Amino acid sequence: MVTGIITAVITGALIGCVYSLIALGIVLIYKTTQVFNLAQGEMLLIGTWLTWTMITVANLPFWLSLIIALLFSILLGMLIERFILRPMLGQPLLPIIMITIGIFSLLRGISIYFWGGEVQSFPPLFPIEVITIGFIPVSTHLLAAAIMATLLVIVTYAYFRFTRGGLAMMATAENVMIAQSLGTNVKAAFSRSWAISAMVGTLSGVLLGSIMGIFFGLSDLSFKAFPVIILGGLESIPGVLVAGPIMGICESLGATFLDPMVGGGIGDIVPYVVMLIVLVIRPSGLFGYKIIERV
Amino acid sequence: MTKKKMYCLISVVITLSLVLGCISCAPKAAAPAEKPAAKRTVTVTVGALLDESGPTATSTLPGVYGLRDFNDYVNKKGGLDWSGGKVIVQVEEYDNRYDPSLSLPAYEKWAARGIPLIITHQSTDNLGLKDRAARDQIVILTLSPTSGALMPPGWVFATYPSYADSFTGFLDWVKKTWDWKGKGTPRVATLTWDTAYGKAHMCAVDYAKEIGIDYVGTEYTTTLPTDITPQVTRLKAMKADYVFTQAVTPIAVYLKDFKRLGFNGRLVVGLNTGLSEWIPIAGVDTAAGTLSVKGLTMISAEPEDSRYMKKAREVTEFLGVTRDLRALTFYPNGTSGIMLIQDIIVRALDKVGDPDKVTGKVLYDTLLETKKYDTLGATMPLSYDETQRRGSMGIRMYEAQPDGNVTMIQDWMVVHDALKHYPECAK
Repeated sequence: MVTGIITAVITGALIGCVYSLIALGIVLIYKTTQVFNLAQGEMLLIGTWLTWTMITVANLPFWLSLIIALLFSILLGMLIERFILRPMLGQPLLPIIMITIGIFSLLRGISIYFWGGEVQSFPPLFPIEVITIGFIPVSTHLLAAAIMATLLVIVTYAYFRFTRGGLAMMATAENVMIAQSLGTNVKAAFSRSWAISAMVGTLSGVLLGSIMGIFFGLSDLSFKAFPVIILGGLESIPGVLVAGPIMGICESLGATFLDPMVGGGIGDIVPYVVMLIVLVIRPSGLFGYKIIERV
Repeated sequence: MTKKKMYCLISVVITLSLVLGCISCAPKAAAPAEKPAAKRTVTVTVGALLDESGPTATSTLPGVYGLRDFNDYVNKKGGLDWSGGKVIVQVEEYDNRYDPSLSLPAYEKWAARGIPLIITHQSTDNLGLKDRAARDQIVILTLSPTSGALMPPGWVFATYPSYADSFTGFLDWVKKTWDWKGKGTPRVATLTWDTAYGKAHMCAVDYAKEIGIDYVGTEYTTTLPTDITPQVTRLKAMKADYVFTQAVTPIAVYLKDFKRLGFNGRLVVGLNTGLSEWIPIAGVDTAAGTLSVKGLTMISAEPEDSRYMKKAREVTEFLGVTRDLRALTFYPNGTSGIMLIQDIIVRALDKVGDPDKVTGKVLYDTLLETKKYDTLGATMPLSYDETQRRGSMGIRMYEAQPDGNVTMIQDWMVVHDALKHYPECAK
């Protein structure tokens, strides 16, 4: 029993790290542009499909395929921002969110049109062996994916915290007009956020695809990132790093303890229940900004 | 009247009577010989409600390709022969994205146009449209054999056994092949989606007990689990020898977690789940020993010189489509369906002589007259009657080998009819 619980906790935490990476893509855009990008899952998928295409059709080595896919993702993110989102600057929030839903549908259609609905295998990025940490069996694949995801989140945080570009993006998020008046290239900041987000999406898609295979349903995993974002805080990069494993553990423990009581399927709901509780008690999340408006 | 005038009148009457009598008795001139009706090409349109971009598209699309290829092949060659000429079967596809709310308007439009037959692929459509189809007298040919839609017999037809039937077939195979003396009673469990489709075989679990097999438990996952540690931990505690699943997309996750957690139970994938495509994702060693129950032939294991493969190659080469047929597990699903549809349309046209008279009722009656229709080995020969809407009651078993190939380990065997024996299955 204890072994089972500890195994569930560790595995949940590892999976949660991958959720963090997916969530990072959404937080990045929100942090800079205040737009909640509902198309993140599809951007993840397009980048993953491109990587697969370069490997299987163009017969390129994995690292080169990934670089090309990342470059394309950057371009895709910038194009979406420039031609679809930028004209909506200053518009109410709801139409902007609706537009991201439209982008979601468009990209889904593109992915199905070009790559179809079948499952495709992705070359394993890491060894498939199982290692034992103490008495806990851990998939090497999952462990490596979790480490990579964590490193990427830390690197992204460092970019925002310690580089001029990152600080410019944060300033833009705080107040566009003030940032602009101080000489910040706001449009470039917006563009950069979408580009980085698309890149992060591709990386998380490649990690997930190597575990589960690639098919268009992979993009639906982006919905698992929503509880992570809410718990961590919409604008907080450290928040997703903490919230991801927490939600992964909640999911895993929910499946361990609650599934036998109700017949199954509860594990995946638990993070959303936690999300609802967080929204009621602390809407800004663990590390998000509390906004106080003076009337 | 004078006598002279009276004699005149009588003569006229007699003369007229004679003349009229002769006219009526005269042999009628032969009608001009009828010219034989000119051979013509007619079109019969059927509808198809398919999930081409939704959550089950991974299993639908290969069947769609099979349906399209085999239909396009015939149409591009001028159509099918019937007594009055040629017939083109036109399939109007509608992508419902697995959303029943999208299926219904499409169905109503087709019904209003008098479409006689609709192809479906989702349990939700089969169950939701069963009563409407009976009301509107539209045949539904489903590529997904939903128990509740096939029993009691109505207007929904399938080309292979239901999910519950496939489960009983698997249990019969276990009974036949298990080392009872050496290993004791076999233990079977389920690991599946927590959805109506995922549980579609559960109504037949009692059959395990009837034939002496222990059914030890059921575990559920969502449609896209990334980790199933808790479920596998419990399956280990159950000591399951076989784990049956209806799930379609998370097979790699299932297999990897089985291996990671040291669980030796063999995964058995159901009718709608592929096997070949998961082997490279899960890893050859991890997938070795995985079993598959199929009501259709598994194309990845089909010999190249089989009738089915020869036809499939001929069709794709003629059309100039490049498909990795071996990777399209459900391709035979579409081909067997469209071949049957083509056959009944031709037979219906031969009966009624006019495409406008090919109604749902005519196709329904023609289906019930269908006996031992050959799908080139994609299924057992198809037969329907008043009590049977599943054309074939046969399954095959396949196994993933250590070299990464999939081989057939059990040829067609007739399954125990779950829908007739377990009333729960018909709901």
